[in-house]
Amino acid sequence: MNKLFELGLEDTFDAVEISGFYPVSKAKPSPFMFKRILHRLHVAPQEAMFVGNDLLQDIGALKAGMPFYYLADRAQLVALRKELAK
Amino acid sequence: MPHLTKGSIVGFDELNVRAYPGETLALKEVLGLDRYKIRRSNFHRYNRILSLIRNEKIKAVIFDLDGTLYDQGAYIDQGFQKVASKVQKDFHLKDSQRSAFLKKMRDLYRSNDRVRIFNRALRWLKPSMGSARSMPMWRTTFSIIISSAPEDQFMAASCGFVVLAAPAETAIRIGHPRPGGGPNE
Repeated sequence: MNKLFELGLEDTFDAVEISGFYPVSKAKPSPFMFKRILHRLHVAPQEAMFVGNDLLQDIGALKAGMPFYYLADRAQLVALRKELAK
Repeated sequence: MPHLTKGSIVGFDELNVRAYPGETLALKEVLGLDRYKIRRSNFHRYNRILSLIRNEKIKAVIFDLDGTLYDQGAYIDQGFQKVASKVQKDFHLKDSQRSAFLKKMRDLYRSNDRVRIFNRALRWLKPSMGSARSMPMWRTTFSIIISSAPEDQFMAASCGFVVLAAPAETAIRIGHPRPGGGPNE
């Protein structure tokens, strides 16, 4: 929450979940936290979208049934292309 | 754009950048500049811009925070620089040694193996520092904690570390070397 305050975003979101507050088994990339925030927002997975920048951690959104939008910088895109080309 | 479904988010990194006009021209020609809402991210140094295309079916957009809504690399680097300055001051490092130590931390961070970055960087630095006589504290164990998470700060305090407050914008906490070793080794 400190980061949200520093960024001036503390009142921007309807709900906030912090992965680090969960035990490892329920933290990212587990779908648990993603399902929990969907439950809190009263929306189905197909009615939401997730935007993240970490394929390994944020893949839990897909596991929870949400579309995942990968926000990558140039280096990440290059790495992803290499990985897909294998 | 035939593969984009309604509700898609398109990210641009060079929109409205004079030196690289291609993306702007492509957006103008393919999507048009007056049909979609364009939002600029204020939190990323790469001038990343998000275009949200409205879709009534989408009721919630959920964002990751670190590296998505702000530039985590720059945030972490502030912490590394504070740590490097602290280590330089405490152990009388030359500027070149400080730079090398800073580079080592950055390299470890980029390697994606981010466990115990500070301990590993300090261990790497130790042989280049010459005689241990001038650095008697090398006999102790170092644990430096960078976290804004309350549980980390509590753990550091409960393990006997002195927790120093640093500028709030970095959310950095530096634990002093503790004689007799710490829990992080």
